[in-house]
Amino acid sequence: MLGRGGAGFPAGTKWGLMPAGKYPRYLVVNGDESEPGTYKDRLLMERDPHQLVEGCLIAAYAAGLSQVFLYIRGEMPLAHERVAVALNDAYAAGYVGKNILGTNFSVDIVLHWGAGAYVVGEETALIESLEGKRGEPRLKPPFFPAAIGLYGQPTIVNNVETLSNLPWLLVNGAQAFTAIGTATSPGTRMVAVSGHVVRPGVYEIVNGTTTFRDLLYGDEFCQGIRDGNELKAFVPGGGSAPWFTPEQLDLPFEGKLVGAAGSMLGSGAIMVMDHTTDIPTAALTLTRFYAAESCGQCTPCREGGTWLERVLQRVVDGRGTHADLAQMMEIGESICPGAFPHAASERLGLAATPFPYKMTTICFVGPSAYAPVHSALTLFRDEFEAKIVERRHIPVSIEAVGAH
Amino acid sequence: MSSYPWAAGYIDDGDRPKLVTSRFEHEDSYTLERYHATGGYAGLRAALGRTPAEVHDEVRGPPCWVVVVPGSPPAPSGA
Ligand SMILES: Cc1cc2nc3c(=O)[nH]c(=O)nc-3n(C[C@H](O)[C@H](O)[C@H](O)COP(=O)(O)O)c2cc1C
Ligand code: SF4
Repeated sequence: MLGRGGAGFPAGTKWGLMPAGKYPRYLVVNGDESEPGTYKDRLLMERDPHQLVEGCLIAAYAAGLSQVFLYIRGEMPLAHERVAVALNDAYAAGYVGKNILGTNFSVDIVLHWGAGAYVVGEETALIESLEGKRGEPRLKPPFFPAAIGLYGQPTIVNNVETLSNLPWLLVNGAQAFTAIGTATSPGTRMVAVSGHVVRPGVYEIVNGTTTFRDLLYGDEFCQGIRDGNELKAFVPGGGSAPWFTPEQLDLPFEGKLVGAAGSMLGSGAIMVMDHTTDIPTAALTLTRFYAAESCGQCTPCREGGTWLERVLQRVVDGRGTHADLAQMMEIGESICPGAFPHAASERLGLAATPFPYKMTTICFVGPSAYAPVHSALTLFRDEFEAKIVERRHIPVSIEAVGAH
Repeated sequence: MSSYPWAAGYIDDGDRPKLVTSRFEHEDSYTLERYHATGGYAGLRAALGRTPAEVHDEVRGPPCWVVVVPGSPPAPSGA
């Protein structure tokens, strides 16, 4: 069972990383889903809250966790209400609390409501937030939550979808689970498709074998690009992921292959851009989000994200220069030194640069502000050049301003 | 086409395995009654009938499944 929160880390392995003999141990459920394009966990919480509660109980039993903290994004009131009712019912029916179903297994589940910060989806920021502090990511290593987490105790942080898979897995067995998908990407996964497809939505797809082409063009899925348009680019794994073009359509949902091709599966959000998309503007939309969501701890993220947004805005407005393009790459280098992942392009004669990247920041928000700029500039530089050469706005000189 | 007004955005066309969305077709999928009627809490009962270590192994799978593949993304879901 690979984690579905973004990193794809195997859940059972993570549970095994807690130091032996150290108790109490906690489970923190990451229901803070805020990655641009992602809206699958919300559906799982709203439509099947008992499945999540049962998944928490199974994880708690297997890993010896005595208390569960369910952290739900603040802007999801229906999810909060449904999970709260489900918890009350589950307590009343003896599934949660003391001596569950007559055994000596006891667990309490606490519900917590987020306050609207994207970065709190990062597991250590979420722990800080639960502790009542500002939601800022912790430096790690040295300490990962499994070793030192909530209130200094061993803590497992798992995603809503990861835990929601456990009831099925326990009823049907690991063999049935791995019979679906591939050996390295077993089971199914939820994907949220948005943008210029005929039928955007959330789909449960078979992991490892379903390709992006199946998903975007398949009759049972998105049924092609809207208005018969051409596909120009797509983001394969949430707003943080480097972009793909039609050349990568035949890749399956398989982390290793997508990583080698220069991106990641991340949170399972696919954002589709057809040929009418203004690429620099699309990149600006994403970069603006990450710049705004920086918690401010790391200079390269706090300053770099803001500068990227400002320079890109200038280019989009038609007031940019060629030096601005070079400067954006330079700013990006200060966040992610060295080669940054990108897709191959036959048109441009480019080979792919695979994951991962180096970073000078504590968490991935800084690199995420750079990812759209880097992808757009690497794969669609001609569109930036056009904005600079054609200039939709005439730059106002200092002299001209001074004349007024 | 299968979509449900009570599960806006979710589409379940096609004959694919449904591990986590099997109840979405029911309007009252979020209630304990529906959960019980569709096999709910059977996974917990199955787990409690075994030792924690056995349940852990079931989720972890044999060693070949736990290899963290090089080149796999470092984290973002948001990373
Ligand atoms: C900026 C940022 C935002 C994140 N947001 C989420 C989120 O909303 N939900 C989530 O499950 N994981 C999110 N993650 C990943 C978590 O840190 C963590 O890896 C995940 O919750 C672990 O669950 P899993 O092992 O079940 O995948 C985010 C990571 C980063 C860096
Ligand atoms: S990378 Fe940005 S959001 Fe993450 S810890 Fe540093 S400043 Fe905060």
